[in-house]
Amino acid sequence: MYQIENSSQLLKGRGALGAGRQRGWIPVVSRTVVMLGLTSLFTDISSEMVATILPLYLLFDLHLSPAAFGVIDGLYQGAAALVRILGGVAADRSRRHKEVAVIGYTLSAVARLGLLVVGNVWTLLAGVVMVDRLGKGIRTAARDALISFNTPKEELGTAFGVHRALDTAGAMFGPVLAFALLTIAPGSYDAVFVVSLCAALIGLGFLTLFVQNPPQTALGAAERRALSWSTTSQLLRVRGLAPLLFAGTLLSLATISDGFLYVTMQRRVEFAARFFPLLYVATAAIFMLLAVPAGRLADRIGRARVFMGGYALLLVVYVSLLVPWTGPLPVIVDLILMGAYYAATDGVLMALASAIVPPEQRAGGMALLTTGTSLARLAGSILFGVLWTWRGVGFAVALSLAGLSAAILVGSVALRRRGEEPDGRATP
Amino acid sequence: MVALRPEHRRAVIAVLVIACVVVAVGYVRWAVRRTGANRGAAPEGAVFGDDAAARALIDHAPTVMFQNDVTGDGWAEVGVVPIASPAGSRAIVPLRCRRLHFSGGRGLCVGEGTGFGLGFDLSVFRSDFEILHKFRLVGLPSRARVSPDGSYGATTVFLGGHSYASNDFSTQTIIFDLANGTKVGNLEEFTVLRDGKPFKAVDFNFWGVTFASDGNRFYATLKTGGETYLVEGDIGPRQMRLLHSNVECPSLSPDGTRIAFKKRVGDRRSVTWRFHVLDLRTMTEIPLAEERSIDDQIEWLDDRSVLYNVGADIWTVPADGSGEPRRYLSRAVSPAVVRTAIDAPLPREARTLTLPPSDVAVAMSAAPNPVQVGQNLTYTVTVSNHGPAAATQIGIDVPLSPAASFRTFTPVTPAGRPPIAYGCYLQSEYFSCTVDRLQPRETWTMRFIVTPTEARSLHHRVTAGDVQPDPVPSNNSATVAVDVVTPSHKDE
Repeated sequence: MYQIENSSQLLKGRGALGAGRQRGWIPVVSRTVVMLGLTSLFTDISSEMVATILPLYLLFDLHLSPAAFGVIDGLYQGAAALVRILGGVAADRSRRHKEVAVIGYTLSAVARLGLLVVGNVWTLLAGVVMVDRLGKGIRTAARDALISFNTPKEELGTAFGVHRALDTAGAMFGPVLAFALLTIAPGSYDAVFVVSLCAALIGLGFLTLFVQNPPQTALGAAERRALSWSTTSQLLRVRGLAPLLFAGTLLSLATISDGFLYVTMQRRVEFAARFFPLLYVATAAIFMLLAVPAGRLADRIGRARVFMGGYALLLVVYVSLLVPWTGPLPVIVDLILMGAYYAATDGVLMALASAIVPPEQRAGGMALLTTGTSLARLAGSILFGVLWTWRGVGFAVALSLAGLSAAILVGSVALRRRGEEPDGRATP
Repeated sequence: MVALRPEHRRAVIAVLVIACVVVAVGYVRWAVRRTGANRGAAPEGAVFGDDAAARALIDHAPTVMFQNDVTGDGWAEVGVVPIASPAGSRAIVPLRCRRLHFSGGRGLCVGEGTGFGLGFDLSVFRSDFEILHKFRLVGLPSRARVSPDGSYGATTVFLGGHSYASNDFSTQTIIFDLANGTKVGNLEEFTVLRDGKPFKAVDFNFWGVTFASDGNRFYATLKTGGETYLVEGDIGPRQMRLLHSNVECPSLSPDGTRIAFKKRVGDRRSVTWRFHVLDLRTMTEIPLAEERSIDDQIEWLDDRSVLYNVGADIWTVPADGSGEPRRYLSRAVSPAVVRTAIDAPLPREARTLTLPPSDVAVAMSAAPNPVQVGQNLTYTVTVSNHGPAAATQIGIDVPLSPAASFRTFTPVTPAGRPPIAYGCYLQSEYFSCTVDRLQPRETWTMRFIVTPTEARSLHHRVTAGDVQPDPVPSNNSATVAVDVVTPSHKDE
């Protein structure tokens, strides 16, 4: 058995491995983290393949009206948040994080099968999309908790970095694969669904075969509690989580969504709208490349510092949108900064949470944090749109700049006041 | 879980990966080979004629040009039928389009782009179906229109819908000069006037262009602040002015006096449209007899009636609010009425597709009648094929009354007979099914249940139509009226 997967064993074995871990450029993370990364890589290939071609399939193959398409697309985007917290709390309560994750990944695989068989029955199609998103909501927090259980605390940043790099690689490769399939077999949406199903099954295989729950002793001795809103609200009493949730939410509220940033850049440079998808790809590529270095940096100089540093990079992007410039170079710099911002914040936030939330409440705590930040990001995006309409893009960016500066100051204070991360490592 | 030894786990994942890769590669190879097969076989008894036969058919001007959706040879290619006999033979021209429009000797064809990626190409073609110009489109193309004189064209694409983007989609409408193959401009660059004063907001979205016959004027939909407006524009001065509110996808009548459009009705939460016609002289609106909520830009058949797509079929309804909607042409998408004869030579690969006739009949009954408010009311719909040929791709539509709510649907399969392949879907206010094939003397029965919500007479009408020409159109629809009564144990 891969006993090295268990955190207790890892902690014991660290004496021997420790020296090697700190040296060299190849990150050494637990095998379980790599396996969870591979699970995410294949699952993201699977889901992004479908997400990319679903609009085409609905409009041109099923001849559904754009209004029906809008409903399905909305379901696609919105359904996950609802079940995320419940999935996390359920994983904590049952102490079966792997099984909860397996349920989530299985639901998405079943949804791929559903796409193949339901044809144009509109209501069933919407149901299939719901199932997929429910699966995503259920699994995310349980999976992130498993990453944290299988990583010594001083290497959490690196572990999440490795996972996010693999995850993003899958998200980038999925659309490419879907495009390639439709190029060689035009109109064969079913072939895309079959390949997507295969990728989902491989992802599920890595999870079921190579990932285990940590030993029950590692999850603390807390008594089992019923799954309810009151136990969920107890999460807020976890020492350090409320400040982190506060800081994360505040920062997300002042975050301009990628789409708006790209549109703003486009207005400055007048590049053709056809390069739009490339901007997303470029940002994702930088995110993928920098996720591991950012995670390692976070482990070395402090996660809160790197997390705040990431937002400082975003601040630079905002400033660049306010000063006059022309030519493609600033766009390239901005894209690199945006990718670095994702690398410094996405996985690092979960590493921060892992160090704060006790194991028996970890998945729930992580779910609360991601739900809070994603809702805040949505609200921030709406707010930005309103400001733009009201007083123009310069005003909206300037106000976001002021808001983000304030959020970084307040957030730094909020995170610093804890003084020390519970793993005993002082926050520099 | 069964504890597997590490080497066994490795073996299991290796087998899983190999099996998945083999299945995926095999399926893709099969799909690649199948793409030459045009979505399956042609209907039984289909006869293909030569280019001379196609020529003879097209000479019956005026004609309707469309994207053919009959499976088999000619699938997704351009089809042409005479207005007078739409259900007869179709001329098929080897040009593949997803969206299509043609007028004044020039056409726009939106097709899957060549080369890598999922872009769409917008091709400008002439009466001889030769491609004149090509543009690369970004986003999902939704509408294409050509001006009556063939000098300008317009397309609307949806931006967004991308997995990273927000779900509130935006549209981009571009006008092209079809003669020179140049872009006239994005409508967002044009000046908009409201009550004579310039009007501008960042949330401007334009779609659904329709051109006037003077080679300059056009109409379109502008959406801003959650409201839609009809705008009237001039291509020359690149200017538009607000004309009327709550108008989407306008379409100007051939005589230039009326605009057919879809109007948003009902509460704001549900997206429900009704086709209306606006008289430009009196600015009065008339609702059309089509009661389904349909998302399409109307095409005028002539000055008296209009065409529109419902799913993969083209329907028609009178433009004055009278009459009833009826299926005009099955398995055809993106109709364009070609009012003058196409006199240029056709490509040599042009041909005709003729299908043998089959008489499809539909019957409907409802029980119980009378029914109480809130009680289940079961409708039984039976579709039969009286032959002589097999009927394929039969569309069955039931617009649902707002005075009842839809409960469930079940197909009824008689014991001992093979099940018949079908697909059904429920749109906001109508229920429709497609049955793949009915042999002569075969029937397909389905039931659906509604519960009446108001105590008034409930009318439901079912229509059925197949791809094959139907010698007896009178039995293609059936109407049932049910009396709805309030429950007898009335409150005091």
